[in-house]
This record gives sequence, C-alpha cells and structure tokens, in this order.
Amino acid sequence: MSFFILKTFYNLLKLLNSERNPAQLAAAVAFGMMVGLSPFVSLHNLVIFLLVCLFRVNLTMFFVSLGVFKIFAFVLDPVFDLLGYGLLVDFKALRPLWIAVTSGPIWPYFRFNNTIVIGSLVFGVIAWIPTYLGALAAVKAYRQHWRESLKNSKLLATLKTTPLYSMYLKYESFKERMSVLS
Amino acid sequence: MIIRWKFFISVLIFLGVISWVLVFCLDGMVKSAVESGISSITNTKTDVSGLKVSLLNSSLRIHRLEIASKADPMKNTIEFSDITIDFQTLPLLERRFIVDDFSMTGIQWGTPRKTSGALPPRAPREETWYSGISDKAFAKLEDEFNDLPVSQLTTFSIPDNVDEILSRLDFPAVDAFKKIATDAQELKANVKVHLKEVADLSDEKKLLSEARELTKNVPQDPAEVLRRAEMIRSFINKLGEQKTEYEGILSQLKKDYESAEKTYRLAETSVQQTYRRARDLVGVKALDTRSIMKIIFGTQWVKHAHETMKMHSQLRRVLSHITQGSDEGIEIYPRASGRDVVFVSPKKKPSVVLTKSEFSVNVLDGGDRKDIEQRYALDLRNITSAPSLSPEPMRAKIQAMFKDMMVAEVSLDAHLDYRRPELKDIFRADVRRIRASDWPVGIPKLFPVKITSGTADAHVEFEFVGSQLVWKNVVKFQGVQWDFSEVPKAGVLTPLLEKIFADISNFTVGFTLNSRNQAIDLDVSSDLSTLIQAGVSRLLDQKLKELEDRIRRAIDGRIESSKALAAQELKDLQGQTMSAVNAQIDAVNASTGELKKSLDDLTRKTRDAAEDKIKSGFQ
Repeated sequence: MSFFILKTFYNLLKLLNSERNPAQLAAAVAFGMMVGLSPFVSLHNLVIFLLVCLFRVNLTMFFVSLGVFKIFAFVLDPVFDLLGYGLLVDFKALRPLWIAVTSGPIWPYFRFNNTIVIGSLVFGVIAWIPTYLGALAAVKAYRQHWRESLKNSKLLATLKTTPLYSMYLKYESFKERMSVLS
Repeated sequence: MIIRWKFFISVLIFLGVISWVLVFCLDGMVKSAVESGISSITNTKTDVSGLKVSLLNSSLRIHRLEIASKADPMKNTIEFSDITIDFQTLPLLERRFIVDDFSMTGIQWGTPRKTSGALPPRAPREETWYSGISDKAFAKLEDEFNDLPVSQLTTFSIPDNVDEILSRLDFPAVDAFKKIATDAQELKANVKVHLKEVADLSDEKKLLSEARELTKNVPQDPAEVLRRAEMIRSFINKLGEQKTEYEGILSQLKKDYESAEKTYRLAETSVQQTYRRARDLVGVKALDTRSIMKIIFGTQWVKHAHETMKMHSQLRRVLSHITQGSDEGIEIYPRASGRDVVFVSPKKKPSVVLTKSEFSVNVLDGGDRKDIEQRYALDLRNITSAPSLSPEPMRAKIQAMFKDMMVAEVSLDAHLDYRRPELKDIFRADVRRIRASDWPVGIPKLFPVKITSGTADAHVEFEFVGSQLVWKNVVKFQGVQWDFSEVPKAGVLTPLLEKIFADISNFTVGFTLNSRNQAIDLDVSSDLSTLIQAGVSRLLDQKLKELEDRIRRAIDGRIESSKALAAQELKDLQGQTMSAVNAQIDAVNASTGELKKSLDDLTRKTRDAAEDKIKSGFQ
C-alpha cells in the first residue's frame, strides 16, 4: 500500500515536472472529480472513462484525482442525496425530463432516478469548468514557482533515503528493461 | 492530435472481454440477487442450490430453493424442487424483467436444514397510516371483546330465594294504599265535624216544633196571623241555607273520593310494575345472546382477523410503496446508496412483470407419485414489482386441494388494483370442508368450549377500497358436535347451553368487519343466536314461571293488608259518610216541605181572617 502511494506520488511529480500540456492534466483532474464523486458502479462513469480514453486526458492524473475525490464523496453523499431529491422530486418543472431519461431502452441502467447518482452528476457537471480552470492554474503555478523549491526540499531528500524508494527504483529499472525487451 | 484512437479501441476490446467474463458469472450474480431479494421480504435465510440463466433460450431455472422458517431456523418454511421462468430478452434493455411463463414443481413444507436459517433482527419498520390505524382499531376491538360478560355464561343462575328478590325491589304501592286509608279516615272525621257544625247553626228540630206551635190556635187577627207566617218563612230560609251547606260538603266529599280512587288505581298499576321488575330480575331478558355469539366465535376470530390485517398491511406496504408526505406522481424506494425515485407516468412501466402464468403443482406424500397430498392450481395475471405502474390490475386465482388436512379445498380470487389515486384490494375466497374441530371457538380458560367433529364451508369477501374496509365472512357448519367438558358449570346456563348445543349440529355464523372513521367494528351474527334464545327460553320458562308465581304471591302478601284497608276506607267513605250527608239533606228537604205547608195554611187563614173582618165591618 505504502509502495503504491509512493509510486503514485512520484508518478504525479514526474507528470507535473514533465513538459506535458497542462490542459490534459487539468481535464484529468476535472473528469476524475466527476467520477470520484459519483457512486463508482454507474453507467455514466463508464461513458466518462471512455471519453477520458478517447481524448488525450492524462490517465494517471485521472485516477489520482478519482481517488482523492472519492474520499470527499463519502462526506458529500448526504448533500448529493438532498440535491438529487430536490431535483427529482421538488423541482417539478424538470419532471418530464426525468421521465424521459428514466424510460426507454438502456436509459434505466444509468440510474438517473437515484438521488445520489443524479445529485453527484449534476454537481460534477457544474463543477467541471471551475475544477478544470483551477487545476490548469495550479499546474502552471507549480511549474512556474514551486517545481525548483520542491526538488531541493528536505522532504524529498528524506524520502529518497527510505528503503521504499530503493524498491521503487528497482521497480522502475525492471519496467524499463521489460519495455526494451518488448 | 487530441484523439487517441488506438488506445480507445484497445480499451473497448478490454471492456468487451470483461463483459464476456461477466456473462459467464451471471448465474452467480442472479443467484445472489434472488437469495437476498427473497430474504429481504421473509427476513430469513434463502438458499438456492443451483441457478442457470440462459440468454439464448430466455430462461431462468432455479433448482432447490429453500426459504428458512422464522420460527424454527433449522427447518424450511417451504422448499421448491425446480422453478422455471421464461422471460423476454428485449425488455432487459429497458431494465425490465418480463416473465412469459412461470412454473414450479415439488413443493415441500417443513423440510430440515443443514445450517441455521436465522438472520439478524431487522429494525422495526416505520408505521404506515394503515398498519397504525389497524393496530389501534384492533386493540380497541380486542378491549371490547375482553369486556364481554363471559362470567354471565358460567355464573348465570335463577335466584331461588324470593325474599332476596323482594329485598331488591321497592314497593311504592304499599305506601300509596296506606296513605289512601289514612286520608279517607281523616276525611270521614272532618265530614262528621262539619255536619255537626252545620246542624248546630240552625236547629232544624227546634224550628220545626216552633213552626208547629205557630200553626196551632191561630188567632182571628189577620196581623197576628201574618206575623206568624213571616216567622215560618224565615224558618224556611234558614233551612235553605242549611241545605246549601250540606250540598257543599257533599260536593267536596265527592271530589275527595274521586281523587282517592284515582290514587288507588295508580297504586294498583304500581303493583303491576313491581311484578314486572321482579320478573326482569330473574328473567332471560338479562341474557344477551349476541354476547354469547361473540364469546363463542368472535373473541378468537378477532385475533385471527388482526393477524390477517397485519399481513395485508405488509402486502400493501410492499406493493404500493406509499410513503408519508410523498406526492402521488412518485414512488420512493430507499436503497443502500440514496433513494430511487420512480415517476408514475403512462410511459413508465414496472421493472418486473409476470404477464400470465397458469400452472399446477402436486405435493406428494413421501415422494410417492401415486399419493398426491396437496394440489395447487395457480392462474396469475399481471403480477408486477410496481403495481401502480401496471396498465392492468393484478389478478391471482388459486385453487388448492388438500388430503387429510384441516381444509379440503380452497379457492381464492385476488384482484389488486394499486393504480392511483385509489388503491383497491378485492379478495374472494371459498374454503370448503374445513375441519370444524380446528375452528377456534370459546375463550381459553374462561369459556373453553370446543368443537369435536363436523365440517365447515366458509365464504370470504374482503374489499379494501381507499381506506374503507368491508370484510364479510359466512361460515356454514355441518354435523358439528360440541364439547363442554372443560367449561366451568357454576351457573344454570352452561348446562342449559350444553343441552341446547347437543341438538344443534348445523348452523351459520357471519362475521362482518367494517372500518369506519379509523375504527373497526365487528359484528358476529348467527342463526344459532335464535336457536339459543329459543332453547334457553324453552328450558328456563318452566322454572321461571314457578318462581314468578311465588314472587307474585309474596308481593301480593306484602301489599294485601294495606290495599284491603284502603279499599275498605274508600268503601266506607262512599257508603256511610256520603249517605249520612245525603240523609241530612233529605231531612232538611222534609222539614222545609212541612214548613212550606204550614206557611200555606197560615197564608190561607190570614186571607180568611181578613175577609171575615172586612165583612163584619160592612155589616
């Protein structure tokens, strides 16, 4: 578990330190947020995942974002339940829309009639652009201001002295050899 | 380039492979869903030994479905050997499960389990409007039945002690007769005094003797004769006044007599009322035969009715999904994550539908195919997971036959219409050849009467429309024999009932349960009621008649002396006192007549004297 976290952390640093397009990373964060906040087994998450695969969205950053926002989802589920209930039940003007998207072939599998599914999805859609813009600004700010200071930080130097880091280096060299062989 | 096709296609292929693997795991997933689904309803463990889903053949086969018993976790309530479900594939795309055909074989009850079927207790469900009202109304009804005069049945007796009965009565007639006698005596004394006073006012005899003297030796002087005539005229006037006084006394006496006679008649009526009150104290009027019906049949039935209503409440809860405060256009189903909101609209259809199914199941005795122990024939139409969304009401017809069991035949026709706005349940059932000895009667310990043999046929009509319930049951008993051996025989009624019931083997009992204004009213009626009333009356009448005669004699004895005295006094008042007054009046009339005659005589003599004097003057 610790190894996985460390690996993810270094991959994340690599991504941030690389010259990849910040928009790809920001889109990954925004899509990860949408999937992370929704109940995992939802058909719309599969659609988002396919979109992430189709467009050049960074997958590592997507999964990291998904994991981080999943933690928030546990706390926010009651809020999404209330939001979803309000949209589905109290906001009667939208009822024809809900009837349309919960009837007919395939649609019922999206479970848009579930309060948490619809609440989290609507929240995710609304929050997508602010999250994308925020993440974009954060990546740019990191590369401009914090990248060098983090490289020389004591925290990173300490981490490199741990046995976990040496295990990680071995794993990386093994991965490189495997890619050369393939 | 913004799109990465190669990666996308490889992901799609990967997802396709995963889906393929999942299809192979479908059996396990459906098995788990079936087990958890049934367990959530029964709250006991459900096990499926084998399950096979075939998307190609559109069929689902379940082998050995066991539903554990709630009462005994090491036994199954029911076990099905094989269940076959043929469904439509296309509606699965709409997340709907439409069953075309459904059949099952090999039903067994009470089979042993290898593992315990107990599940952790579930949190109590929120009380619905229906279950709440039903529980409260039944609690009230049970209280009413608990207050039934059961002790009357076991302790009712005909009192033997006449004095004790008389001590519970009051006798206003005795006082009335006594008062009549006293008043009559006082009246007689008063009349005597009055008569004497009137007689003293003008001494009639003295006047008569003076008048007679005046008519003797009449002088020749006309003036003297005229004076004497004037005196007699004054005597006549005095007697006239005396007569008026006597007539006044007589008139008042008559009025007083009439009043006393009226009081006497009222007292006599009061005696009749006392007879009636005494009869009521010992008569069968105190016996309420409707209570007897409720005691014998109603008390136990109320408990069974309550259980049935609880089950119906659960059925409505499961099928209607009505939650308090929700609007009529939606149904809300709580889920592990959030809540599913189902919109009730013409477009929306139920997710699980059993369109039509007709099948029959034979339950074999010990696996012997020749020996059918139970036989069920089911005809199911439009059975759905969400009846409110169904275009047609749900129908279920069940025919069941049992060998050597408490019931021989059952036919049930259920019509469940849960489409808004008004929920409608109509159940009609006919149960034939019920073992009468299994029919619950009496009240344990208090009135433990039993039926030992005979059969009963029951017809049930249960209509629940909106919140109005009418539940009618008519049960026809035939060839019934009763057992009163355990009933306490303290009073006179139980032995009588035992005698009466020995002759009653065929009868009908009706139970009608109505819900009105959040209350439940149960009426128990029976032709047995008339038979009991007639039987009780017939047997009690002789004893009661003898007792009533004794009571009548005792009452007469208490009243007799005062009544006789009152009658005697009234007779005296009418006979002696009134006659005395009338005699006085007659005497005055006779004296007045004599005086008038004397006055005429004197008047004539005065005229003669005056004529003589005029003649002598001329001469």
